[in-house]
Amino acid sequence: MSSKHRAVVSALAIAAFVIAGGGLAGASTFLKEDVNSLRKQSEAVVHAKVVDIRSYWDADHAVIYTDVTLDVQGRLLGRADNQIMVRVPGGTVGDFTVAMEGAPRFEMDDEVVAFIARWYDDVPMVAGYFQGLMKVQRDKLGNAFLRGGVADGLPMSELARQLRQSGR
Amino acid sequence: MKNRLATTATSLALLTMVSTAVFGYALLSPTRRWFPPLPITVRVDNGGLASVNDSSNGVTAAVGAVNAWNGGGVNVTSGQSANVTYTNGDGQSDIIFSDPRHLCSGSCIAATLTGYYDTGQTGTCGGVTMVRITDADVAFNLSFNYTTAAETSAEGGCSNEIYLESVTTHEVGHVIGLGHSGVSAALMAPTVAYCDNKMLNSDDTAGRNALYNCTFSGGGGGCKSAGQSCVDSSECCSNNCKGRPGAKTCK
Repeated sequence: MSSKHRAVVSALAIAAFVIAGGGLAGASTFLKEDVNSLRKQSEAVVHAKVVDIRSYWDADHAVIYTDVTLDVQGRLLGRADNQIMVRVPGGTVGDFTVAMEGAPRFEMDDEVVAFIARWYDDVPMVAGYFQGLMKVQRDKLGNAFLRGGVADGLPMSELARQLRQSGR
Repeated sequence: MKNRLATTATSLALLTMVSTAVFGYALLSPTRRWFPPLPITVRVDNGGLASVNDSSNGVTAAVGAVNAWNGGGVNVTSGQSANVTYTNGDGQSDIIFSDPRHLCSGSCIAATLTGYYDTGQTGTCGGVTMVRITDADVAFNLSFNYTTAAETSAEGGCSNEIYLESVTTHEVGHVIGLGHSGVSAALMAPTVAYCDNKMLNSDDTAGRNALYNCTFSGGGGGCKSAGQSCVDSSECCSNNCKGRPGAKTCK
């Protein structure tokens, strides 16, 4: 590749990265996580499909939570049941919505990779909130790439490799 | 030809970086804000934070952080010290120095939940349609050690602590309707580091101005009928909203 050609490719790559926004997501206030720090907080990292989403007021009618059921299709790290229900702060009940900036956001039928930890009461959660949830996208050849979270832009196979390596 | 292509591509990259820097702030989605009367009262937990070693355990600093959003002809928040509870949907914006609902765990330092009605009132601000925020509450994760400028000034430094002013001002940015900025120097950037006492910068105030420094016309979307959920009476056709906090309905 000539130096001019490299300059063109580099400039276009910079433009593409800036336009993509570097994977920024909404949040409350968080310490910045990476794959290794989230791995340490997680009991499992799963590849899963969202099969159910239900929001509800808590028993004191003080906060809305959402339970998201994940159909586990693969395990990149650790052990997990075939179905996991993660609890997420916020949601919509009737016409009232409570939104926590930085909570992981799921939609029905999403294919995701999630770092799984536990809330204080042992209910599963997404470790690191938005940082611990990636959506799976596929290229024309069917290769899985991750969007969002700490593994934004990585092939799913590369995240699996990093997790295996960091676990040694 | 290759030279021109390289120049064009480089210009595109630089232009994109410059425009991103200029327009870094983001509004929450759907776009939402508090409707008049303003300023909204934001109550600050008068119990303070035990880890803050200043004269008010951080309460004075947090009240000041709430009011930091005022200026440039905009008066949107009024901080006051009070005994607070954490309840979504009660129409009262509260900052509580604890996490009674266990919303904020692990790397979460503080969490803001904003409440709004999907089919409720809308208004326009500078021609942009906005949903009415009816409630917003902030909880803090007590797993972290907090400090204030007053404390570090007296003690001569900061070590593995989070600046309360910085986090509070950031969270109140969410309370008033701002999302995260793409400008790393902005207070509304998504993450914070230990001992980094960020202040509002021009990108943050530009975001505030987009929501509040405008000619506002509100109340669109109509009033609510009997039986519909509400936060305050102004939403109801009957002008009568009653019930327990978080479960009020128009009568």
